Order: sequence, then structure tokens, then C-alpha cells
Amino acid sequence: MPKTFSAFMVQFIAYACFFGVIFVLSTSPAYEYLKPGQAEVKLAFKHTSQREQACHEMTPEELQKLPPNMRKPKDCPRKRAPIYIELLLDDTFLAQRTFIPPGVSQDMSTFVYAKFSLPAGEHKLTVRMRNRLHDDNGFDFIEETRRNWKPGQGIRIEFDESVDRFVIQ
Amino acid sequence: MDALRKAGNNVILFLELLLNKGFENRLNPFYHLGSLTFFFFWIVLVSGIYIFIFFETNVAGAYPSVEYITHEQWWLAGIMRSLHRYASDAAVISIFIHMFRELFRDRYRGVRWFSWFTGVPTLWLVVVLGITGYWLVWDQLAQYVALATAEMMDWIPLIPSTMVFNFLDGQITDRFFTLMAFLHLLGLPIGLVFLLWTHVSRISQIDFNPPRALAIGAFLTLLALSLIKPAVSHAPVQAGHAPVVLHLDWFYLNIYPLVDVLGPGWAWSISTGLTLLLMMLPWLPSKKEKPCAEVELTQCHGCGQCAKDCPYGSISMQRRTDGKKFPFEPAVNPTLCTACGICSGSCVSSNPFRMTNTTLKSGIEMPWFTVDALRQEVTAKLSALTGENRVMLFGCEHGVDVSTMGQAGVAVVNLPCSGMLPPSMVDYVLKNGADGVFITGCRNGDCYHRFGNLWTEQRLSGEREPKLLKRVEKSRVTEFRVSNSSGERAELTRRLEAFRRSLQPSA
Repeated sequence: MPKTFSAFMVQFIAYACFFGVIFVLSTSPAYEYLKPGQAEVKLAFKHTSQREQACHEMTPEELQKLPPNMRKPKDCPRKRAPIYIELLLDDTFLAQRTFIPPGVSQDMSTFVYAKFSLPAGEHKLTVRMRNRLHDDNGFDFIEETRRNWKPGQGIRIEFDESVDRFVIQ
Repeated sequence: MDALRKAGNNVILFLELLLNKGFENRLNPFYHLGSLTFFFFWIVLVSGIYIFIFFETNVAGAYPSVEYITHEQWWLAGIMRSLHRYASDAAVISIFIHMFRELFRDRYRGVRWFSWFTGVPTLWLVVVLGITGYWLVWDQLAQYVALATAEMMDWIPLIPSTMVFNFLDGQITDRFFTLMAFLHLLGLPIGLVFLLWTHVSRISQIDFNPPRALAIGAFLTLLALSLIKPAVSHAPVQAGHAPVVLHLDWFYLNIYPLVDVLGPGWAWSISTGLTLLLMMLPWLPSKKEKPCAEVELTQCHGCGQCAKDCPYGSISMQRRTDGKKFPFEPAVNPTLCTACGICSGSCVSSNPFRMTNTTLKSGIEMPWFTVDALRQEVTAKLSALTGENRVMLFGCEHGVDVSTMGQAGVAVVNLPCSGMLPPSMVDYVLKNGADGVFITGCRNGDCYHRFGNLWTEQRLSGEREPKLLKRVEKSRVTEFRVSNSSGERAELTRRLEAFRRSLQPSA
């Protein structure tokens, strides 16, 4: 037990500080992950983009130059095109991301994952994706939906490869 | 770095002075941060075992079981859950103060690098252990933590970027959940015990338990916190819902907002960079230790007192090699020796009444400051002492700088640590012209070399070998230990003067 009142006060303050620091920092300040009135969009899917260069038939002369065990009728460069995705809200640009295919030769399937926030309310949400090299910057897949997005709603955008189209849920 | 360390040291010394006034040195929580951390881990372990009885390690059952713990059986399991959380938070506080204290008080470099270096990854493991704990509740906070952790893991090159797909919309398998439970309950705690063992493996006589009064005070504070603010969960995970406001435990989950704001790459870079910087601090710049202790077998009886007294476990007793009848001899490990001189003070051969006509040799000595050199310095300063109430003042390198305190009637000898002073030297001083001996050094309970204060006090009071002879009048020997701050220096001067006035001339 403290021997004097001042010693008691020092102990009290020390324990109060210990108490107070844990009391506050164990839960606060509250972290606002999403601003009020916002919903969150998560793009998450696996997709294999197209090859950057098309396969071409090997001519007999080309084949002759190769060792016998490497002679194949078609030459297919392995590198695949980056996946480019854009999100639009009411036809206004919201976000864009480019995903480079993984692998040493950039020839593997790409795991697309990105998250964005958007204002809640009734809006048209458009997602469009380019999965091959385009001369005109066009898009290979476009999906749009108009809904009443709720605050705090988690919107998931996937790509269903069985039907080759986006699913917004 | 020196300026930062000096400023930090002043802050620490000021806080410790305040705490000494309230708790007394013996119970100052800053002097028991390591053992307090162990105590918090004990609370975490016991409370964790209890709540695990009711916890279901599967996705569907986890949240309801935690709700049962929190609300149905609030009177015990709920309190245990809160204690589990708050003791974990308290451990982070004590670890951080411990870390900054060792840094500012310059106890992390030189031979002490190992404890510092191994302490940093220990901190990481504690944080990971805490994070997996939050994961197990499987509420919205847990889902957020899982997803953000997965984003960080997926960022690492060469790892397939697929972990995050396990946690979207709360889609997690029981198997993965069980893996997390295994990590939190067994894998990480075993790793933590191993790292803690490594962390303290280079120091001896570790105090794993804090003083009882301090432990009770800390426990009651955590208990009060558990009753006033019980730990509760966030809402359960719901598909199609994003977390909006999260009540993060900032002691453990502070990195996740960084991931959200800067991205996982920056979060990794900052945390890894800070970790590497902390681990490298002992060499930025490094500290060169003085030459380590050397054994002089011709003077050693193999009593083992030096090995018992060494604060760093650098001395071990091994089979005698010189054919003398004593079974053991000390061996010094130079990689552990800080050259504090405590071993020299513990050796019965460090007796200045021996070998008076030749060079005094002790069984174990500091090559850069031998007992003979100490005797010569003491003898020279005694012969120069004049006036009445003559006092020999022994100081240490880490307490008040006594080198400027010499005056008529006061001779000053500075030691690397007051623990280097053999008790027989006190007798010698009193026999050779001084009326009193005044010993100062680091504050009680805060010896730079861990036990120099305590061993000296015990040797002088006859509780520890080598003992001060009973013939020495106790009133002629005093100790007063303070830090090198100006206020305390003035107090030391006052005490010294008061001691001098109290002395009667020697018979």
C-alpha cells in the first residue's frame, strides 16, 4: 500500500493511464471503412485473356530450321494480353484497372481482384473488360445494370466463364 | 541518434522518478516490464483456455459460441474474454515501453545486441497471434481482417494471388477456419515461447514474475476494465454487406487502415522497413565494449562466485585445467561479457590487504582496470585527502558523474559499475585514512548492469559473498543511488555533505 497521499495519487494516476490507454485504443477511434451513404464494389474472378499474338502456321522452311523434337505445325507465342477493366457509374467514369497475367511468360490465368466505393442510390453501373489487344481500344465484354444500391451494400462483380459474361450481384 | 537517445533517456528518467515516488523503486513498473509482459501472457493463456471450452472451431458455430461467451455466461466466460483481450493489449503496451526504454537507456547495443535483435521478430509474432485471435470471432471485423490480410498476402510476388478469394462474402471453409484456430491456439504460441526463450537466453537470473503487489495492481486494473467495458463482437458476417464502421483494436490491427489507404505494397514496405531498421539499430552505430574479463588461475580458488554474480551469464565453471586441488575454474565467454567488473568485485582474491609489496592479482579481472590499479588509485587519493570528515566517494559510469565532485575532504573514484567494488576495499579505505565511504550508482532497481546495485548492497550488509567484515562500522559506509539528472545530482551532494557531517574522525 502507498505510504503517503502523494504516493497514492501517483499510483492512482499510473493505473488510470494504463486503464485509459487500453480503454480508448482497444476500440477507438472508430475506423470508417466506408463513408456514410456509400456501397462497395468488389471485382473478383479468374479469367484467361487472349494471346497477344495469334498462332501462325509454320512453313516447311521454318520447320526445317528447328530441331526435330520441336517441330510443331503451329507456333503460338505464350504471352497473353493484359486484362483492362473499367467501371462507369451513370455513364461517368468511376475507376479503371489493368491486370497483367502472372507467370514468367505472362501466360497464366489472371486473378482479378479490386475494390471501389460508389454512392448509394439508384444508379446505372457499367463494367467493361478488354481481354485482348485492340487497335481501337474497344471492349470485349460489357455489362450494365440499373439498381437501387443501398448504403453499406457489398456489390460483387464476377465473370462467368461458362456463359462469357459479367454477373453483378 | 545520440541526441535522440539522450532526449528519450531524459523522458524515461523523469517518468521513472515520478513512478519511484509512487511505487518506490522496488515496485516501479518500468523496472519490471519484461516480467509484467510474461504476467500478461499468463492471463491471456488462462483466460484463453477457459473461453476455448465454449468456443466452436467451425464457421457456423464460431460467432454464436462467442456470443454465448459474451452475453449468456458474461459473469465468467465474458469476463475471461475481456481479460483475454485487454491483457493482450497490455502486453503490447509493456513490450513497447520495454523496447523504447532499452533503446533510450542504451541497453541494446554491444554485447546486448542479441536480446534486441531477437526481440523485434517476437513483437511481430505477438501481433500475428493477436490478429488470428480477432479472426476467430468471425464477425464483420474478422471478415475485414481476413480479407485485408489476404490482400497483403496476395501482394507478395511469387505467391499465387488467390487467398483473397477464400474470404469474399464470408465464404470460408471449416477446414481453413480450423487451421486459423490451430495457429492461434497452438502453432503461434509455441513459436512465441521459442522466440521468448531465445530473447532471454543470453541473460542470467531472469525474473519471470513481477512483484506480487504490481501483479495484483495490474490484474485488478484489467478486471475493472473488463467489468466496465466488456469486450464485444461486431455484427455477424452477412453476404452482400460491406463493413462500414469498424472498432479496431489499434494495438493489433493498426496496419489494416494503412493497407486500405496506401495499398498492401506500401503497408508491407513500411512495416518491413521499420522492422529491419529496428533490428539493425544495434549497429547504427555499434558500441565497442571494453576488453572482457580475464581469469588469473594462480589466484582463483574456483569458488564460482563470479559465475553466480555475472549478470549476463558470461562466466561458466569448467573442470580445472591447471592441476590445482580445486575442482573447477571459471571460463569467460567474450561474446557475452560487457566488462562491467562485477565479477572482479565478487572475487575473494580482490582483497587489497593481500600482496601489499607486489602487484595485486585477483582471480578474475578487467585487463583495462585491474584490482591493483584500483588499489593504487585509491591509495593515491587517500594520501591526498586532507581536512576532517574525509570521505571516499565511489561512483559508477551510469549514475551521477562524480568526477567533478572531488573537493577538500572528498576523494572520488569512478568505477564501471559499483558492483566492481570488493567489500574489502571499503575496509581498506577506512583503514587507510578515510572516515567514511560513500557509494553511489544507478537508481535502485535500475542498475545498468542489472545486479551491480543489489550485489553491492548485499555484500555490504553481509548477505552475499564476499561479505564486508563485521569489524567495519556500518555508520561509516553508506549508499545513495541516483541517476545523472541535475535534480538528483543536487540531492546526492546534499546527502554527501550530511554523511560527512555525521562522521566522527576514525580512532
